[in-house]
Amino acid sequence: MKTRCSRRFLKLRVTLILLCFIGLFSIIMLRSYQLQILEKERCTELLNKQYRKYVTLPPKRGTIYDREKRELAVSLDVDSVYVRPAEVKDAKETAKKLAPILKCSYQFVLGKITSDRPFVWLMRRISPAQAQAIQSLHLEGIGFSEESRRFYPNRELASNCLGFTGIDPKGLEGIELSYDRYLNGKPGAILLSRDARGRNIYLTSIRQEDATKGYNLQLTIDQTIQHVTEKALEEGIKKCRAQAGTVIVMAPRTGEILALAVRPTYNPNSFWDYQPHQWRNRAVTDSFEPGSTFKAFLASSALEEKTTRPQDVYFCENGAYPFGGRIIHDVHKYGSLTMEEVIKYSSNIGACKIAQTLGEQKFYSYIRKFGFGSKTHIDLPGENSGMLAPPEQWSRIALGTIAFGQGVSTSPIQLITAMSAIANDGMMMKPHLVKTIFDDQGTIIKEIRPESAGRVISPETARQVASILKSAVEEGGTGTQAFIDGYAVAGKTGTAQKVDRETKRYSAHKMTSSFMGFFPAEKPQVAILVVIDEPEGVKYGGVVAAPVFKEIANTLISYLNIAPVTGRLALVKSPAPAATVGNRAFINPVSYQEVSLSGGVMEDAIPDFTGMSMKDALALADKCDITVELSGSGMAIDQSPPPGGSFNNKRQCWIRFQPPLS
Amino acid sequence: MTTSLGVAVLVCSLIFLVWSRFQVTSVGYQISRAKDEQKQLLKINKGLKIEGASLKSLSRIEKIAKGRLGLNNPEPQQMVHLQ
Repeated sequence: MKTRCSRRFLKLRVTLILLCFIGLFSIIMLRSYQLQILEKERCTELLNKQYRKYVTLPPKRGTIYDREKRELAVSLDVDSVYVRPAEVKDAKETAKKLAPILKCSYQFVLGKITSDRPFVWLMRRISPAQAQAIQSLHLEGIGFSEESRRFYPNRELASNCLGFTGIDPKGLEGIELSYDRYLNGKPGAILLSRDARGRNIYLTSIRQEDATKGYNLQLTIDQTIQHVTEKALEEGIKKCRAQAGTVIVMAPRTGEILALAVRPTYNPNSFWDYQPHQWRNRAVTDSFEPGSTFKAFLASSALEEKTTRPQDVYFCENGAYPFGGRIIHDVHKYGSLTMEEVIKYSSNIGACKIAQTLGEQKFYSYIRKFGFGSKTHIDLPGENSGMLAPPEQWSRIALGTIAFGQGVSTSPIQLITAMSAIANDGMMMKPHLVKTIFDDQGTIIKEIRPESAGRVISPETARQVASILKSAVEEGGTGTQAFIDGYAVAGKTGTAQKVDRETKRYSAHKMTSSFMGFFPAEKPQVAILVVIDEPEGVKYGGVVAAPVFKEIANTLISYLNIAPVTGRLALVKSPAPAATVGNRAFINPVSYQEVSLSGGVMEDAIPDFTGMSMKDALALADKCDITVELSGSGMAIDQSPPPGGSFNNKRQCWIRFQPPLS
Repeated sequence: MTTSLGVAVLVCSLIFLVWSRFQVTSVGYQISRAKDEQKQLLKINKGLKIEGASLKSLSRIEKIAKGRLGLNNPEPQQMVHLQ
């Protein structure tokens, strides 16, 4: 009886519990129906507000590398600190704590914190140390937002070329501006879930659109060449206390810019601390009257048109020549000079006469062919096309003055591009700064190949001009300070008067000194242009700019591994020719005679190394198949075994060097 | 008996469902933390790369080479060109 009763009670209990569960479950189901179906819209909206967080991912900017893939400009995510003034409890205390960390005045920070606006930036792109210090204070109403910041690890190096970015970050100057569409990525967005405490939860179903990183650039610039160039320019400017300067190093066969140095310059990491004129890339934005460097193009035009030959003689009027109602002067008085000597000694009167053989129209058409008066379309913003009036607008004296580079203006990039055409057998190449554009996986998006800008002169004429320009760097020429022992350098100096802004006339003191050249002259690998603006003291291009060229060229020889001319010729001082021909000017008090290294060496006798440089001694030893042991530096002063004798068993020789006494 | 078994299976399923949801959320937190950590590490890595690039700056190296180590550029006669 008792068992039956308890069984019945058990059934009742189970039923009651079941009903209870069913009841509770029904309530849940009904509530679910209400929330999920009847009030779906409202609830979803409420949920999204509380549970979802929409985060915009800033775009990442591509990296800029040099030609050897060394970083020149990189981006890094850094924190920006903001304040929501309404949420700040103690404004004064907060400002007091933040001011020293942000290195701002207390009043400045307090002003921001007590602003009427709901959101105020306290400081954009602070350093990681600053962000950590602020975070550790746990201040209410203070928050962080991540932003991208551009860093230039080499500071001033190539800064005028690279440019800089703004806060957005968009390119504002230089390559950063001209390649902005490639460098700048697309912003992304991510829809995150978050819990009641605001912590992010990653769920697979959440939509995410990654920010794309911009493409990377590989420049044609070589960091090492750039450094050497900037250093040489800096020293050159310091020596002559000049206002500004520009150097461009170009590969004439490809049009690649290997270095582009500009002074004054700036540090792009803090560009706002500098004046806008310091940001300017003078190599493309500024134009100047090129002066005598322009004679190289006059010679090219006249030789190409065959209106003159290198051996044709011009009478240089002993320094003063009336032309077009004015008097044209030479720095030194010359009598008769051959066309080659006109360029070598840089005679303005001779140049004027060569231009006359060519005529205005033909000269103008060649100047245009060399690219003067039009942009080179280099991949840099703000290019200046220079100033070249058509012959119809030329004054009576213009033909004469343009012949020696006055009355025409050019940008440094135009000048080096034109010079490179002579170096490249008459073929002009379009200058460019970017080699490849590639993504992070290394896939090449765009490759900028060497592009021809047309043939200007024939290869024969180009070689003739190169030979003439070579003589301008040799003894007696105006560019001897650019001479490099063992290498054939072709070059031309230029010293042009500047127009005085106040008097609107040519200034007697303000000059632009320049030197442009290429080497090795027979097979040019590098073309260099040096422009020094307003030097003090001696202002000639041969004195001011040529040493800068030499300094750069000397370093490039070892860096680019450019071998000396085969069968190299040593320079030995010898007396100058005693007589002059007719009324030709006597110029060379001392000239250099080329003497073959192998001259006078007997096959089996021990050669005389004394008086030779280490390089010469090595070359001679190599020629005679002698193993040498060297000690010291400078000129050879002693050797063992002595010269003239014969070798015993081994062809070995010990040579001692000592620096020459100055 | 069958009902009880059915209820037990239902309860177990519900418990499993709740457990799996909890696990998903928990893993979600872990991923979130890992992502933050990854971001921080990438940031540090990038910072170190920039620092490395700054330290490799040629002007700095030249200063050390010439100042501290007493090195100099080779004179032309000290160079031997190998063909």
